[in-house]
Amino acid sequence: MSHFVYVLLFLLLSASMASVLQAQSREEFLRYFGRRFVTPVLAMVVFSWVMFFLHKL
Amino acid sequence: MSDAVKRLEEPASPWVAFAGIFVPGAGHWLAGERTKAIALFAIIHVAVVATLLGGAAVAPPVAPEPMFIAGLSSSDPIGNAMRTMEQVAQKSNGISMWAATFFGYDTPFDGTSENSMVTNLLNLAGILNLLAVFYLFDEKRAENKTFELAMAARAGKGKKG
Repeated sequence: MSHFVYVLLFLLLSASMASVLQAQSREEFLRYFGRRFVTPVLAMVVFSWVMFFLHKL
Repeated sequence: MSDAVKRLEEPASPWVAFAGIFVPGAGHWLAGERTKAIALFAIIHVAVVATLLGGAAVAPPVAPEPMFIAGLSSSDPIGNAMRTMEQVAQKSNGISMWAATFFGYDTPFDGTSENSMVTNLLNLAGILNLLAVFYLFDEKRAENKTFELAMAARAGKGKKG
């Protein structure tokens, strides 16, 4: 298991738990989960592409 | 007063939340939040089963510290504190961890980085379960407080009028 998968699992577990605790409805759960899981993953993806292109310069 | 009416008029006791340490989600179930209870049960047990299948090291019982004088040369207080914390975190996963130990699904730490990763995930699941229990405790305590204040205000009004 790579470090990347480990970080994803860590994020998935904590994001789902926090969203389940905080949400009062299904819609709220989806919104919180999106914020907590998708945002960091997107940030990670964008950051790695930026670093990749900086490396290519 | 019937049970149903009582449940409507009084918020659940905050202490019920601590049932969740033994069976993840049990506190939410008893407090009437059935959907959340099932979700918590599923999250914790998926994490526990996945990490145990992945070979996570289950913390062995911590050896007692030797007597102070005898232990000056041989004791390991920091290591023991860390092992105790790891065991508390893992046991917070509830009866599934006791079952894993009882049925022999516990494996020792083998020193690889992969093993420490899944072990950390197992610890994380326990800490998240503790978080869920404390969150529910706090929520119910706040509800009780609000309810008491509302009742007191109502009683005061009643006396005046």
